[in-house]
Amino acid sequence: MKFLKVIQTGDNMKSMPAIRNAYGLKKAGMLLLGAAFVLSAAAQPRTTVEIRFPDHPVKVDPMIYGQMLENVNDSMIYGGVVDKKGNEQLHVTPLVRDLNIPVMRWPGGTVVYEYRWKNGIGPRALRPTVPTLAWNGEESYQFGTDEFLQWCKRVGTEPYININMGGYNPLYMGTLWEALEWIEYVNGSPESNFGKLRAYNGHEQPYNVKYWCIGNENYLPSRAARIQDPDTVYANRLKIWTTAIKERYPDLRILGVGRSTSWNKTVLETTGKNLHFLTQHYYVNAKLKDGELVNPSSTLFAPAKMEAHLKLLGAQLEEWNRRNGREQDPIRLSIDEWNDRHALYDGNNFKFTRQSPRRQFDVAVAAGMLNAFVRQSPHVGMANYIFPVNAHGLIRTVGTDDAYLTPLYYLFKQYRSRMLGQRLDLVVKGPGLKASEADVSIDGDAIELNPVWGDEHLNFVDAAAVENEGRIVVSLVNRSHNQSQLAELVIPTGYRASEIWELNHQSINARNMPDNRFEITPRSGKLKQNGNKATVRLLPCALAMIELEKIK
Amino acid sequence: MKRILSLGLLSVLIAGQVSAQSGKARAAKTLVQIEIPSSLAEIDPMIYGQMLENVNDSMIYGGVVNGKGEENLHVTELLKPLDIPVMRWPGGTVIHEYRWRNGIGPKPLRPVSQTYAWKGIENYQFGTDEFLQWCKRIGTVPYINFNMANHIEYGGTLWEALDWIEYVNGDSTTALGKLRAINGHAQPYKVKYWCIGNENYGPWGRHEKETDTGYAKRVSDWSATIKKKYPELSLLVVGRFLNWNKEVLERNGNYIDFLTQHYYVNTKLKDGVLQSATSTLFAPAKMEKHLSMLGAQLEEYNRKLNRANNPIRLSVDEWNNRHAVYDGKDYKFTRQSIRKQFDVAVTAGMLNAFIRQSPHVGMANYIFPVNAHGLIRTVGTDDAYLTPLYYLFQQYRQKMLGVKLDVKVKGPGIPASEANISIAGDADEVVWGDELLTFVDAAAVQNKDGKIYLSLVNRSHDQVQELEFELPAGYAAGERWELSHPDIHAMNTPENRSVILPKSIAWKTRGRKASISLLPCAVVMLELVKTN
Repeated sequence: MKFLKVIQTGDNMKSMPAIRNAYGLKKAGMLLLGAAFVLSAAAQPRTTVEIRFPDHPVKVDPMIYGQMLENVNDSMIYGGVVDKKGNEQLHVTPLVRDLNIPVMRWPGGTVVYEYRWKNGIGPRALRPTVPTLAWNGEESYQFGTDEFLQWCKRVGTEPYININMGGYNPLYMGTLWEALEWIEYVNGSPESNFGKLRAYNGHEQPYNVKYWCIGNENYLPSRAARIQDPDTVYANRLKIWTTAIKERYPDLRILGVGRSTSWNKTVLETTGKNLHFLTQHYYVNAKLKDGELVNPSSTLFAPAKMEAHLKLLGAQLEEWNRRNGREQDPIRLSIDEWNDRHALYDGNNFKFTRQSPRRQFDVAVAAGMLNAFVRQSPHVGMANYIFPVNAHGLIRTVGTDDAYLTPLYYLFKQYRSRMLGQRLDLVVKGPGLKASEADVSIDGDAIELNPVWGDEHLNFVDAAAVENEGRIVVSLVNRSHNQSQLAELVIPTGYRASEIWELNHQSINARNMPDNRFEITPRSGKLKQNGNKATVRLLPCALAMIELEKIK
Repeated sequence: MKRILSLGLLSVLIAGQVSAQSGKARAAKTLVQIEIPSSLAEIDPMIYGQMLENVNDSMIYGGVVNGKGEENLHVTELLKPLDIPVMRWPGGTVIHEYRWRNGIGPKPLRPVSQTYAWKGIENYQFGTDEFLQWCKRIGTVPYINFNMANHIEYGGTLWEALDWIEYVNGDSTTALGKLRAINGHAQPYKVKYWCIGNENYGPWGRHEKETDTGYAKRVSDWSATIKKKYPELSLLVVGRFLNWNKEVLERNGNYIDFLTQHYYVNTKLKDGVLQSATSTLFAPAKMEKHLSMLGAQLEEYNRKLNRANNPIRLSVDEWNNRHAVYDGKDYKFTRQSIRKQFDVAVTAGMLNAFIRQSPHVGMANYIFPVNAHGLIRTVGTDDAYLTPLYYLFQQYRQKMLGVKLDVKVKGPGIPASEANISIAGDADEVVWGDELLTFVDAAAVQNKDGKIYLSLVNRSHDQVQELEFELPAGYAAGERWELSHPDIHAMNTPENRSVILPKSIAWKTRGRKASISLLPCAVVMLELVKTN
């Protein structure tokens, strides 16, 4: 808790001088140690990174650093952001607030197919507790619409609500009237039918929630409360829903479910004019045996496959936006569920779990995903990591009054504060492997690439860059699990090396634990420059973010 | 009653001399014969039920309650004596857009919405608790209808229905029972009758036409789920034609208790005068023929499903005589046309048919008790008066109970094919032969205390009917109750509320013989009292 108190009072990591890294040295010392490794290592593979300023500047939308909440029965909402009674966990809130999360999706996910928003308003004692089919847990509706929206205000994020819209399932299906009433409850004036009810429940002012998604993975086979929808069926229903919603609420930003290029084509052609986003989901697969990543390239190169898919979808969107006069208000992609899923070997099988804390290799995966979102801007306009607290989380709670940070917490915080502004293009040349050799394993929408993706060369070093208020920020990720990489950045004329921020560990399987919370913590320091170059040595699965400043 | 049974065939006379000569001056006589049937069919009092629907004609708001949903106390006092056995609510076509959740909790918080079905307003001030409390006060059994429309925006869902049942019947440990308790009603209401859908075969209101198999399949999800969770409930589902009912029965036979049928007699009025009188006055006969077809079908299914002791029955849960009034160009349907003497004949004809089709018909709901074709009509905000149908329902509800007796009627009439009957609803599939429909319609019952009641209706609009008959051995004349008027277009109005009133007199016999004459569109109910 001592550590947490520091976080709560200070506003970034630099305010924690007392914290030592894994080697017992202060952070400046660690940088020197890193440099010593460089000197002593044998001939290292070398990667060159060159910056290209694009002709047309492209803005990176901060919403790509969004998060999501879902009651997945793994202490994510209840026992995570709130306690079992739905009361805010005051020790968690400041940690979340400090992330400056741009957008927060809720309440699902798969569980949305059985979500009844009306059960989650009004006096708490009257709210029902029901089993959740999706995750074999229960929903007590104590953290309902008002609680979510109030919590969003307190953590300083923008709410994004997902509406239950499934195929015909009389026991669970969401209905259009229910959706319209929900919007009115959230955004209606206090004189409107449901705005009146909200005011009565203590919230006079409309919340003005802008982002609303209709459906969730409707393409997947029927499971729990979900009924599988063919593309045309989903698209036609979406058209009716979005038409009714836009007619009453023209200012909302509506998200519709995306999938493959052909699914998206159907959705766009049927009801594109009512939409602002197509949602895509990608889940990297990691297999762990005895605490170690198995078949590492499958996991570490997975973001590349997602990116290849995003490119396809982005090109399709660009074409559609042009043909439909939407260049100024384009439909974009929201990767509103993404993550690296861990499956642990139990002696027999690899079993999916949300109880596996994030490790150093997850840093490489998460940074690889974020780099892809940066590069695929502006087509990618939103993304939501699952989840901020517990269950693959950035923050993990301990008992009922304690919590610690995983390395992904530092990573998200760093990206959110630095990797903003205009996207820069990069030319990266260096050692790597063929896409087909990587045997990439990623679930979700990229499956349509299976037969076609494979020949291109994938560098071990993944890089993305932005120009942010006069500074160039370059993010470098080593996707090799066992080889350090030397990355040599050519510094553009008019700039000079400024800072380096690193998140790494000698072991790619290292992690922070309740009893050892500082195994992986970020370090920052001065970036050295050699002529017009800055050279950075990247440990396996390391992330380094370097900054160049304009010479005045 | 058993004593009577042991008499075997109880043959009560009535020999009339049928005149070959017809004509206004001297109508042919009618012979009526009452028989105790070999198997006794109980008449379910629920055939005298009523229905409430917010049809935008001061039926609910401005009828049973005021615009704020507060009980109209002067109306309640009039409803109590009707002893209405069952009350359907909230629709009807409007059910396709009804959201029960909007009609609970603090009244100022309830939404106000437009009703698409009737182009009016639903302010949800008379919601579930108000309806159920009101039912208690007027002493009736509530019957609730679910929204099961297929409309993409307004259609109701099974989960919504299950929530409603829990709100109404769940004990206060259940999530929604707890909500009901917080809303002031700790005790579960134990509502037994629930209907799934309304006229789903038609494209009316917020609903698109469904096929028989489409509805039958969809409703089976509902009926099976509800019945398994709440086996004590009595479930009603939408009936229509023989084929429709077959599809529904095939898929739902184990879960349902009633098929609902709707019949609307059509009346055309020009300058206050009934047009094509036989079209209206003989309409109940066509409904009855349809009911007998459906009843035979049900009997077979009940046998097949081993439900002889718990049979699926018919609920004629919407019926009425609709008036269309000529406006100089067209006949326009209106609910503002006050019930007239000829409506007495139609209504009694419908009720007689329900009695004769007992026990297959186990429920019926007239629309509506107050205003809008109503038995009671309000005047201003604190006054109301009674139409002749009020007296008719009250009389049937008190007397026409017990077991049904067979009645044979011989007398003048017209061939069915010439009546040119106009009745909207489920009877469309009836094909008439050349059967004779007698002017006199009759039904008879035997009460628990042994009294026999014989209801006689004159379906002629312009001929007095003469009957002669003989009392059965062991019976003496009791009361003669009559609801008639020399003018079949007569009605009670706010200014003159006593134009049509029932008259009760002792009737006279000559020895064991009696004769009676029925004015056009008159109803006479004879009471026969045991002498031993």
